[in-house]
Amino acid sequence: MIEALKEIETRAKEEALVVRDAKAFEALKNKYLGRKGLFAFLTARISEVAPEERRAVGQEMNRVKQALEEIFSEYGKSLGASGAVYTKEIDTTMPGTYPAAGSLHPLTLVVQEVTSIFERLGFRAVDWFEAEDERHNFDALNIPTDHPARDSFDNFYLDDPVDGERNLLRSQTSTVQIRFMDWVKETKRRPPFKIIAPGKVYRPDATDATHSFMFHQIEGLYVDEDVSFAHLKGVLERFAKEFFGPETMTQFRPHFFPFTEPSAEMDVQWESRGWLEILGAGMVHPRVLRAVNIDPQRYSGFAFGMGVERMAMLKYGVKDIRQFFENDIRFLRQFA
Amino acid sequence: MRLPYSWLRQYVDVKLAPEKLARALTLSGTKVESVARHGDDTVIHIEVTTNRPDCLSITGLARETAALSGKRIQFPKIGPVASKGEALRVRVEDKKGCPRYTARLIRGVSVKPAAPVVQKWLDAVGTRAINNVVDATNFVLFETGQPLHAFDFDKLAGGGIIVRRALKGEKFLAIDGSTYELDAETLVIADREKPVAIAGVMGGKLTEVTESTKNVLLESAYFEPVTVRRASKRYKLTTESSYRFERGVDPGAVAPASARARDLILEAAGGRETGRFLDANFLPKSKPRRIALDVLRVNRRLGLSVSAPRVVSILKSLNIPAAASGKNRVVANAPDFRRDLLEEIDIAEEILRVEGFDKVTAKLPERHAYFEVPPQTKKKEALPELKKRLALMGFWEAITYSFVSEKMLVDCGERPERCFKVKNPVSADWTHLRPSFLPGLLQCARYNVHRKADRLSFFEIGKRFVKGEDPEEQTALAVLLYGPLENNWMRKSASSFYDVKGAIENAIRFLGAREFEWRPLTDDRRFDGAATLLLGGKPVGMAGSVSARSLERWDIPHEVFFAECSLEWVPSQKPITPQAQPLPKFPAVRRDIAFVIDEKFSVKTIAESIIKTGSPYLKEAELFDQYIGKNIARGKRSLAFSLCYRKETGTFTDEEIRLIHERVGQALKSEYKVELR
Repeated sequence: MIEALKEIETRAKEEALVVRDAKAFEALKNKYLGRKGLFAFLTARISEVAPEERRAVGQEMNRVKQALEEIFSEYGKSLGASGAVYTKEIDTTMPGTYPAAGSLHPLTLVVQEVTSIFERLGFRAVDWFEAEDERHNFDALNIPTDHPARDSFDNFYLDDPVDGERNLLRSQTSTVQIRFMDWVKETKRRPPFKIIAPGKVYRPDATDATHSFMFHQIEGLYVDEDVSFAHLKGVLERFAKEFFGPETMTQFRPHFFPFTEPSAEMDVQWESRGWLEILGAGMVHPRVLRAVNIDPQRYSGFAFGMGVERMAMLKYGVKDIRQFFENDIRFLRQFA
Repeated sequence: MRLPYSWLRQYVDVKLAPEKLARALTLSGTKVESVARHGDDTVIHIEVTTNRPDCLSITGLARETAALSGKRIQFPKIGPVASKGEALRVRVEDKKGCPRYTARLIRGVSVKPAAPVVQKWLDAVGTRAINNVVDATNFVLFETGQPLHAFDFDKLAGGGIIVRRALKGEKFLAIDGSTYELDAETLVIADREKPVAIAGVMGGKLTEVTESTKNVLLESAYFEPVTVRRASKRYKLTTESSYRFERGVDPGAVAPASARARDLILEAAGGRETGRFLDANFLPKSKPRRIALDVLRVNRRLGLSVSAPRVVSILKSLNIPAAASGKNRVVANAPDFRRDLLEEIDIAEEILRVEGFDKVTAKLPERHAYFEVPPQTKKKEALPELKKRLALMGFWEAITYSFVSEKMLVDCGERPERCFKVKNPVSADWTHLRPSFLPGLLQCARYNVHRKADRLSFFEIGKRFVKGEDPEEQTALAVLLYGPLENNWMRKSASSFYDVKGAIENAIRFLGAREFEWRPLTDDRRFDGAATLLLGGKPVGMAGSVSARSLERWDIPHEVFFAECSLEWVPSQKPITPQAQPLPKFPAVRRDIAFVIDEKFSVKTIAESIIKTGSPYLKEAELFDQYIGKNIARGKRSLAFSLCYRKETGTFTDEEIRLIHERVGQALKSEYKVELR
């Protein structure tokens, strides 16, 4: 009984809150306090209560009655003489109040979009160290000991090696090619595999509108029997059309990277902006395959790498690379 | 590298318009950046890749042009390399840094301005014309790619040359008028008294060829690339000469280039060669490098279908001697100027780039075999989804630099000694690897607060680096809240420690964590009030209110709540699949209980105690209110729990509930001396 009394009190409170006009208000008041209202209904059942509990129930009845009268007098007052407080319809122009969602960083948006395009093409995303050793950043990638790319002018070296073995910050995500293929070797697996590896890379460049000492790359690698340059073109053209739109034209130019041969750069013609260079690629150099014990007579593959900031700048019209790392919410909000 | 079109035409009779040639060069790997008018000439700007130093010369580019246009290349006729006459005194003390040094002596020159066409071409490639002797050496540098230097012979003390490492602190006055203090690793060309050039980088002021020069010593050498690169970086001197030596010049071109320069000097400035050509050559004799090519395999790798004769003809057009040997086999001889050609695939690339990348028909791979990825990668697979969830929870994703400064570390109470230091930071602002996202996110908060932001909610997922932990490189997640959590016309609510705690809990639950607990973290200078997050008894994260001292240092006016959690514990196996439990058959009864209790008892302890008393009917005790302040004694707080009683076998009577609920209240009274409200 006491439960039921408490319940009508709670319900009356809730329903009174959403009442909009005098008519509805009267109906509601009647529902609870009318002669055939809910409260009357309960009081009529006092005889069913055990005698020893009657006192408690009676007290509760008095309390709830008072509470109900208070509810309806208070809301009656607020309805006022004109008989309505909520005569105005909902102001549909008032801001919605459900907490707004935040946003993903534009670089993450690019990474996630690129990754999902390659996942549809059968690639799997992998992630590895940012602090690396010279074998993974250089040696196994066919960058010889005295190569300028290994200079301290072009790489960040650390005072102490991370986890006791990795003493520089990777200057390219190509390290993941070696990490992955080492793992393939160590676990006695074999090609085929198709991986995509997004991540941060570091180079001590002077910072300006297009250079940053920290930036992001996405690396891809596909090794199987009889992978040819035709597959490289096929996969990357498909990617360009998915990312930039079906009308996008592509062009491949020879280029040079130590770890691929032949090497190429891919340009896209997108929204009549002329040819834009967007990624580097090439057939995995036989020396790289040999360095991870994959027989280049039997297997071949292609690899590619692209700069995430550059893609994001092109796609979203960002003019200064530094904006990505300032995290100005006025900037970030534009990607919500 | 700038290529004046009229200069190019000295060696190859190209008929293509410069723009068409530029496009052909680009598509065959010699990338053209721009084509520009220069006086009555056209200059093609070329970006030469590091594997092709031979293209840092007009004749190298003429070779490419000839291959693309099917024309023959005409190299200039050069007089004899050897010469007779007086002996030259040259001593090479450092054969590693200078494996080949040649010198010749020309007497009786008359130094004056060079011919207008030479001046015009030098201007077009971006070098200032000096005089007929210096310009002849520069002309040959651009023509052949071999840097040369002319000394005023009479100003060389002792009349001879010593190639040696500099003495530490030795001074050198360069042609650019600056004095450099040399270190002991710098290779110099010296006379008996002083350095007269930094080898391969720049000549000296005191021995330069001027209008009064009569006799010239002409140097042509092969300097070791690393030595030159080091000096160039060390003294911040990048010259046409250093640029080429760093990338490696053709050792076979050292002597012919010297003869070519002599011819040009004699032609332009008169005089005669009186010295015996000196050639100190310590390089191993170059061996023919034969590379065999399986044409079928090359076609398969490239997706081409070229014949062996076509392969031979392409290679010959690039001045790479080649011959068919059998139906599908070609043997090529890699020339000295193409030291990038080492094995079959290198030759294959030559075929492909001349044939054209557009000859390859694109196709998608047809095989789709399953393959495994390593466990450490699998545990990261949920992170993209986690980022989306955090964004939907209202957080903005920040990406801050992985570097921090010592000041940033100190300002937020971090200990720099547990951080990795960068040996060569770009500036004093970025000297350490971040051990936590706190400094970066605080900086990002300050940046926004100073731009009038009044509420911030950031998350970041990335790597952090902490000395002495296992592993030291860790993937981690952090969240930061500043200002009100909600602030709109209907509701305002301040953010708190409990909001960042809740956010982290949401995240780790999503990643599969179930059994976790929080313990007070009292000795952390970074926070005023913080907790450690334990997973399976091990600390993996924390949440806290950033210390007032830090906020003052960062100039952030209001409270900042921060939580961070390692993600290294995330299982690489999917967590156990949930099994659906039957829903209760009978309705539950809800009862509230409120009491004042000594604040030393934690909510967790109290809730567990309530559930124990209410057992087996009580499954949940949910805290719904805490009150501290007016009418509550110091050291106490008022707590209100909502209790949910349930019986498996039927509904409760009011009496049953009353008894159970009273028992719970009694137990609290006797156990914690609470005062029921």
